[in-house]
Amino acid sequence: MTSRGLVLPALAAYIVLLLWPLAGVFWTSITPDGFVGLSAYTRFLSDGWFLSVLRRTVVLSLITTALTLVLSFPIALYLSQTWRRGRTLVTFAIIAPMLVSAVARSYGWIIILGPAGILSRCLAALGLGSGHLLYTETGIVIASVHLLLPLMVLPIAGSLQQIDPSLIRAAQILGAGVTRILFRVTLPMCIPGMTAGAVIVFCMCASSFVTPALIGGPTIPMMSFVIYQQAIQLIDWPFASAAAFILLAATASVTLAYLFWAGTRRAGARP
Amino acid sequence: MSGARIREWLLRCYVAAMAVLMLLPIAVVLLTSLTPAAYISFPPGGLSLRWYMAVASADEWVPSFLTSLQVGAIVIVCALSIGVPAALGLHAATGRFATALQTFFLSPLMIPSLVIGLAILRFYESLALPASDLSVALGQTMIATPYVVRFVLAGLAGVDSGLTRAARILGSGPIRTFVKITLPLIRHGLIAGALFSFIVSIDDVNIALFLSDVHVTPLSVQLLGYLQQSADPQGAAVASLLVIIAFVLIFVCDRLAGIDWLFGIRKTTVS
Amino acid sequence: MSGFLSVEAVTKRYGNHTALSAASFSAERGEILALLGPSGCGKTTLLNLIAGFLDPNEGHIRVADRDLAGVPPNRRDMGMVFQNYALFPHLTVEKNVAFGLEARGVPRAQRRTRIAEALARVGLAEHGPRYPHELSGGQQQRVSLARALVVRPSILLLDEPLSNLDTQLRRAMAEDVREILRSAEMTAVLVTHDQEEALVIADRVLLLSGGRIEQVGSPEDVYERPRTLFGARFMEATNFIDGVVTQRDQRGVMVRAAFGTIGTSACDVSEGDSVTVMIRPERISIVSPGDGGDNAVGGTVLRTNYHGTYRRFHIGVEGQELTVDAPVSTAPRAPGETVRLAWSRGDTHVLTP
Repeated sequence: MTSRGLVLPALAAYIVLLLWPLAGVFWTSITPDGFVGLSAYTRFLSDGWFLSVLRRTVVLSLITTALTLVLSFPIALYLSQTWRRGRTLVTFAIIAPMLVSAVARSYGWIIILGPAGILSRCLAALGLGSGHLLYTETGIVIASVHLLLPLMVLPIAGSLQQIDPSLIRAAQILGAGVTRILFRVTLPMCIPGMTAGAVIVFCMCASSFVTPALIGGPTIPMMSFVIYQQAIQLIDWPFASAAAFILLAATASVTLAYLFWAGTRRAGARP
Repeated sequence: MSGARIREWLLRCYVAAMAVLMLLPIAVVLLTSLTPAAYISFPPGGLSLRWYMAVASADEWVPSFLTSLQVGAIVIVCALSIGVPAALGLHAATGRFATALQTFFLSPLMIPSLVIGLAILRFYESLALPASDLSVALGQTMIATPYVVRFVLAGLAGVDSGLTRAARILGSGPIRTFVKITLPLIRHGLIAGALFSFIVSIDDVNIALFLSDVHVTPLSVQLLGYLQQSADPQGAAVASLLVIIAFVLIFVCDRLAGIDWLFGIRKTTVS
Repeated sequence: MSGFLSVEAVTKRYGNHTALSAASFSAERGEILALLGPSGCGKTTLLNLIAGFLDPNEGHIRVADRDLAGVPPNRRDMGMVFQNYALFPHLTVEKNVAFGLEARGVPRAQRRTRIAEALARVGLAEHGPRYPHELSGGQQQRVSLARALVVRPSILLLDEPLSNLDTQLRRAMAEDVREILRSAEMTAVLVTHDQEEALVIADRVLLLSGGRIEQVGSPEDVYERPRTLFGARFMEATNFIDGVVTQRDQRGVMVRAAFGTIGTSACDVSEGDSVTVMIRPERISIVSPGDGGDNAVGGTVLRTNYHGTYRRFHIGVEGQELTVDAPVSTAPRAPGETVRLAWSRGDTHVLTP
């Protein structure tokens, strides 16, 4: 059927501009000295410094994901309550920043978190000393949470909106108060949205470059910075490629685990 | 106040506070760019457009801005050209191969864009392809196309298949049916897809960082480099331009297709 | 107005639209009431008001003399069965039924016995560990019933409980539902647009239209002797004859219609009034030419249709079409044949417009 042939241009583009280059990078990573070998990978995985970068990337991403999850839920709850009048405004405020360049957003955080920034001046005014959060891991987490919050709010709000309102009424008439309904009915039914959001936020955080580069600086590198540095500044392609694939492996394993879990759920297990 | 009222007010205050926090960095950037002083001062002492004038007259910004616009335009064309037929083909097809293909077309969203940038750069180098608007645009097309596919598929899902069947039975051929029935109904998906492609392109750093060079540097990459070295209101002015572009595009999309389109399906690559 | 459940002059408005207008009725303990009417008549609004999901603009709702104004739904000690079952999809059948007991703090050992008893009562004793999506529609509805009954509510509310089921399943389930409610001695209010459901399940039927209660009576009363044109149409009566009242006698009145004079059952009209008279199609018989009855008329067969449980004859009588439902043993007649129809005065009812 000709209509199925319509996918061919996209298929061709994806093969030429995605699969082939990725395969090329993989090949580069396993041919560090012209021969096939894993020395690029072993060099990475046996170096304490590089491992600490990997660890930092994973840990900060996990913290960001957890924080984003907790902070997003009440917002998603609010947005899913369609009768609220301020809903469009709040939707705009929460979601619109997603479309603004990460560079611009991170710069805003630099101004807020920096040494002469708003935060430090507030702290000074309250007599809490002159701390600032630029070039700290906390700063990276704060800016990353800001960056990725919309990506968590949307799937959770989607899950919430799919909850049949008659279920809430059934719970009410059976005698359940607000807290019981929240924890026994609403929250369990949001698990799909929350997991989807968590996976997205984790992967995005682990792969983000601009925010950690600007807020954390070169003294707190993440995997993204290492990849860039090795490729562009140190021109060590095999090593950069290995680092890239290690990062890809980290995010892909989380994504695939999620897809597998979501698939088994759909295939006749509990909805 | 009863427990329910307290809970209600807590929720409202929390959501309001979060909405403010989400907009805070953006507001800070905008206000900082309007400062008349020679250094970053927040709040600004007055309001002045001097930094925007400085941006307009500086050597590096105008060419970057033009590059971004050109690259963005090419990305729109490329992403729509391969994404729309792909969505149409996917919509018509059924079965496990179709779902696998759909996951494949959406996969760039799940791969760190930095890794994609690295891979495509290596690919271009292997072909001795110099950097150009087109080469950057082709790279960014890979992260823009998934959005086009998602938006158009969602639009097609909303089209009652009975409508096309009714048209065909009444004697309309496949092309005429597409143009007169399907196309108007997926109009909103197309508009959202086009605008999203442009936003993704303008905001992208991870891919453009690898694919750009001295002659071809999109605005966000230029700004990143600038901010890594100096933090002054000129950077804020450029960042504000990126913010304004994003908001203008949101406004345009809302006029043309309604704001739910952009926010119902979210952007999941971050720089 | 007294009674276990007492609804007093309850009105509910949405902006300019009055969904329910000064509705009043009461139910005794253990009585099963049906609120019957077409969509938009206000029956679901009334149910939601009793449940506490809506607040009335005027009027009071009392249970055992306690005014329920301001009492939230989770404190009204009621049960509810929903049209789409509203079973919690992430909980097993057993945990679904347990939900209300947990909310009320019933200790675990007691919970187990009561759940087992409730599931046995609805015929699903072994289905505890299954999930709702593994059950059929009828089974899900029964779980929904068990879940509502296990907490021993003072009143059970049912919102179109059988509408989502296939037609033949509906008939079987209606009888089961009545049995379950009767054996639990449950005071129940059922909302439905299906007249058969109301007739089978309820002790008393309230007919609603446009936010008002049109008629209250036993299922037989409402079906055989509807008082209004709306009620008659809703109960699928088909023979409506206009005429003028000529005289009264001890059995009712005589009405002069286009094809002759017919006698009616007892009613409240005066001579000279223009009225509409109704006869249910199954109350008219095709008789031999010599036979008579209280009312008799001759006509021409227009067509005959087979309906499985009865045969429907469409007979033209002086420009009016009468419908006659006869047992299938009655031989069909060809169009154009002349027939003689007869029916009794007791089955001829005068309707109020």
